[in-house]
Amino acid sequence: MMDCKEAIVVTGMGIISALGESVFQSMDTLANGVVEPASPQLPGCTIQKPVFKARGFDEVRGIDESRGLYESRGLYESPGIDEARGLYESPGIDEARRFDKSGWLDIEKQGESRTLKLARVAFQEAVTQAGLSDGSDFGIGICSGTTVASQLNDIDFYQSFRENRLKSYDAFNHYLSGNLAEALKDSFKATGPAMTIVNACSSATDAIGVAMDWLKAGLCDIAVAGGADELNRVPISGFNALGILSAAPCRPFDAERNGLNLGEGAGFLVLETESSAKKRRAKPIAECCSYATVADAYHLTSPRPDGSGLESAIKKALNCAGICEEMVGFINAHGTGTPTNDLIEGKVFKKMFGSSLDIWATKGFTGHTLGAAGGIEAVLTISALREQRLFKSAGFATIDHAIGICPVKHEKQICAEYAISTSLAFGGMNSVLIFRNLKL
Amino acid sequence: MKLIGKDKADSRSDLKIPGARRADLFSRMALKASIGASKDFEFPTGDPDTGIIVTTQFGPHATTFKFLDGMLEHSDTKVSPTLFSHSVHNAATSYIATVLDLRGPTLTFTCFKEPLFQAFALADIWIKLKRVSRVLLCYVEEKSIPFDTFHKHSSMPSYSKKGIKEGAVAFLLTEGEGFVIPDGP
Repeated sequence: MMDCKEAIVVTGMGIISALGESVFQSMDTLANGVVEPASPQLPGCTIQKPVFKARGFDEVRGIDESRGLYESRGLYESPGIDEARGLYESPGIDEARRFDKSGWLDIEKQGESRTLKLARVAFQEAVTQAGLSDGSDFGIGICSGTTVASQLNDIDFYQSFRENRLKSYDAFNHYLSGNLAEALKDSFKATGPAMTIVNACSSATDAIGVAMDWLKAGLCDIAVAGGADELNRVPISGFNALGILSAAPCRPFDAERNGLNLGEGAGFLVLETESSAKKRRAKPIAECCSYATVADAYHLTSPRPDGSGLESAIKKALNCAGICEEMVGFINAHGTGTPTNDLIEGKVFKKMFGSSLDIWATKGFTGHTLGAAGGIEAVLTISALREQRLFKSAGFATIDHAIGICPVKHEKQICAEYAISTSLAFGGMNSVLIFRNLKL
Repeated sequence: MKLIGKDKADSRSDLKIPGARRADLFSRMALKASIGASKDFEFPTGDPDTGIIVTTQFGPHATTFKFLDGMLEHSDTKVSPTLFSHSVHNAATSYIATVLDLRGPTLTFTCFKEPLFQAFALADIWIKLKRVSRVLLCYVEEKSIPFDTFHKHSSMPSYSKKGIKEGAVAFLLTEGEGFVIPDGP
């Protein structure tokens, strides 16, 4: 048995989604803003159901020549600016400002997938906050979830092939060089393992779980883990065919919910053992207490109706963290807005935690970002724990009595030491992460 | 680790498997090899103590191309939900869990550099960390005419111009001695 008693801490976080392009901007939007989904506006896409596009990504792409940096408004405003909240201390921000343009951050690189570019933005914010300029000084592992980036689904390229008019195989070569974890590892000069998790909608949660196992097993000193996914015509068509896309903004856990909205983005955490953080003098943001995942073993596209897979995963995660149900301060639910997911998930929450525990659903702000969702929600969960406040669950208005839970409707102060983030996935995966606020 | 069982399958195998009637070739090869690797071990009903790790470099791309065919030949709104669901990389893992009734952790991952080595390394960690007592590990790839063509023209030197080899191999592993993970890349 390996020594797995040492705590795993989070020393950096990065996020890009419809909420914004940094942790600071995302929390600001949650507190003050409203995010409205819009039609996809993707070339050739005839499905006009609303989606959540990553905010600022297409508009702000400039490289600041003087610093050679991707200029992300929120990223450089965020560290330490809000003393009242005590948030976003970043031991490495001064070092990060000195990155030069010859580094690995060029998101304008020709031919790279949008998913990889989104990943780079969140990855950069996370490693910057953790004070890591590149991966060569430490044994750093990279574990990233995705769905879209794992497939060669370039429709124009494939159509040209079908019609025997293909002139360039660049799209295939970019696909081969675009494995998310391997590409991030190469550009960050990391020397640890690299793995791209393709567990559908729980991919990023599982990526964080795998990274925790790597650290416990001593496979690397530090791991950067999360996920990224882009809006793409192929999953939009696929989810539409499955009949689970809503034609209106999604309404997680609401009695009138009728489907999900797709979204895009990325979310990454820098994880390391407590001793590694101490050695580097990196300030822990939170503890990543435990991870558990359980298969439904039921059906390819339907969750087990009794929710026993999710219940078992939560119980295992609680047991691994050494805590009981009463110690959980809130749950950031998967909450897609589909009738089935929310019914099963909500009933499990009510059964295990009663109806008074705060349930927070964030996909009304971000859409369902598929392989990125667990990473984005991990960042939001930790941020809410740090701020000790929850925000409204956008889209929720009316309780569904078949579920019997009422997600957070308005911003509120909380006193929470532990929080759970759940991810349920196609294929019957139920994955759970538990985080601890180190300030309490 | 200790090896309990192993097996392999390819498109010439008997792939008529109860519970997988709608599965595509990619999933059926993975399932066939996994069933074969487990044939001498009786899993408890709803076994929570066996994990599944499936690795692949390219995933069920033939199914993905069939789905794209549907988009190009019909429209975005007239595509097959079955093809879409089987184009998702972890479909094979879901079939293995469902048919063998395994309710432990399940993971599907892709990497182009030494996927099988990485899978063995993770299986070893899962067992040593007591996440599970056993791991059913499967490596699966399928062929397709488009991918074979793309491979021949690939500029990546590490990829064989002969294209991908098709088939699945599965290993049932548990705690113990005797199975040494080969050195990584």
